[in-house]
Amino acid sequence: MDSVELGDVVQSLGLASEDFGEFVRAALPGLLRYGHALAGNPHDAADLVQGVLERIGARWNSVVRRTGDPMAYARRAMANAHVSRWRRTRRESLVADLPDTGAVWQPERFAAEPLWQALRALPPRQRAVIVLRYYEDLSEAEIARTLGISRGTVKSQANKAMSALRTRMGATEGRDR
Amino acid sequence: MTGQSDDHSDDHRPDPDDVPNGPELDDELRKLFADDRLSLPVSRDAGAAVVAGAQRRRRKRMALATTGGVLAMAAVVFAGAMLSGLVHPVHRVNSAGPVLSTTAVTPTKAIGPPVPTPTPATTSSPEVEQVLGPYGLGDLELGMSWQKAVASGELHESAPVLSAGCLRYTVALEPIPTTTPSIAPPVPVTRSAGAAGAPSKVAEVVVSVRDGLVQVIAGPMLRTPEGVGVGSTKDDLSEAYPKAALPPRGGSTNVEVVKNPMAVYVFDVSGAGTVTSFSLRMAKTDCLG
Repeated sequence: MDSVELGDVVQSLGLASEDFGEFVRAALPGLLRYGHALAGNPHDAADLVQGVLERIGARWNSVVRRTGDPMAYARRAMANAHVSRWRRTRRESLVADLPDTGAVWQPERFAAEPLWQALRALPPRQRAVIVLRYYEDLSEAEIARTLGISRGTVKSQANKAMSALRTRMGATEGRDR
Repeated sequence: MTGQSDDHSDDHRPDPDDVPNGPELDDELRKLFADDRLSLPVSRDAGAAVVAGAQRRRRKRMALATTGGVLAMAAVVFAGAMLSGLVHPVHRVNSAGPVLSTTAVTPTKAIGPPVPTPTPATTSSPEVEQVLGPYGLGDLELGMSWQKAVASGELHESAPVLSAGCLRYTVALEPIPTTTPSIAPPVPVTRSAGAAGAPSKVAEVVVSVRDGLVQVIAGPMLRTPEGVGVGSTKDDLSEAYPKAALPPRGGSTNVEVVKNPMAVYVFDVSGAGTVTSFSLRMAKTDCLG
């Protein structure tokens, strides 16, 4: 992405601040990756990231002022957005460059991973707990705070998720774990 | 991950009592999440698309928060126009210029032909009065989950913890920034209302992590549907709510909400007999703000 051009656009918009454009540019790769882990497919990932970033951008100054860490805020918001599935309508992805870029991204091989498939089959909240734990490396208490659920719920969701994964993996690979 | 010192200091692992959990799955999950193929290519115009989308939402929110119906309608139409303008593949950021930059100047004027009704460019005026109805404030409804309340985009983080499990947020109209202020250094989160560029506060809400949105504390521009608000007199209060028990030397009084048995209005009345603040609250809640 060309930062100069983007900066120009942001300025021409008279946006809240060019810092938001800068933040977006820096944050997008990481957030898309994280969104991919959360949502389970590139399209929903792009949707999730775009929705959350737009909402943050719409109140950028206050997010910065009040949280001091927009990146952490964005990640929390994404986890919650994923769980609450507030996005009913899927629109064309503007954020991830999905079609026709086979050279960069090899979806088919990754999508075929049994563990990835098993993860995709989890209900959103269980999946969020797993992603927060193993992708974000959050503790149980941090996960509870992020998702606004009790530690007990985090624990039970994690247990359910792990045994579902184990069952599914066992079924897929025909081995006993 | 620090400071959570109870019985689960190694709480990356699910409770071993519940599920026998070999380390393999943990490792495989970490390996999977570290896989390069999880990364997605970022499209060239992603930044511009997000920035434009943020603009659109901001305007829409402000329109909804202020002039209500007509402007909101225009914003919806406008949003549609923006969206359709953006979903066409845009190959260079510059080529998006016409679509994007026309929106920059004045939100309402830039809308152009699709606007059904000419709308005044004036947005937030402090005189705008809004109603804090029996169920809540607009989209912010009593009892909605914390996640939903946060996802509404209406809340500004304010005081993170009111008491255990209860959070307090500001609902505000933000002034449109005219320049490009730099990021303020992270300030410790306090409820200072006087920060530069502080949004004009409409209300505060208290959200319980367990029970959801439990209270809306009205700012001065809000009124009950019966017309009582900050500054109303005792007489106004008893006229609107004949059953209200008026504290003789000031204090607070609860009034049942006719249309919503789950809720009460709480009015704080000064010794001189005027309403100094009021809120709509779940009748039963552990969070008291």
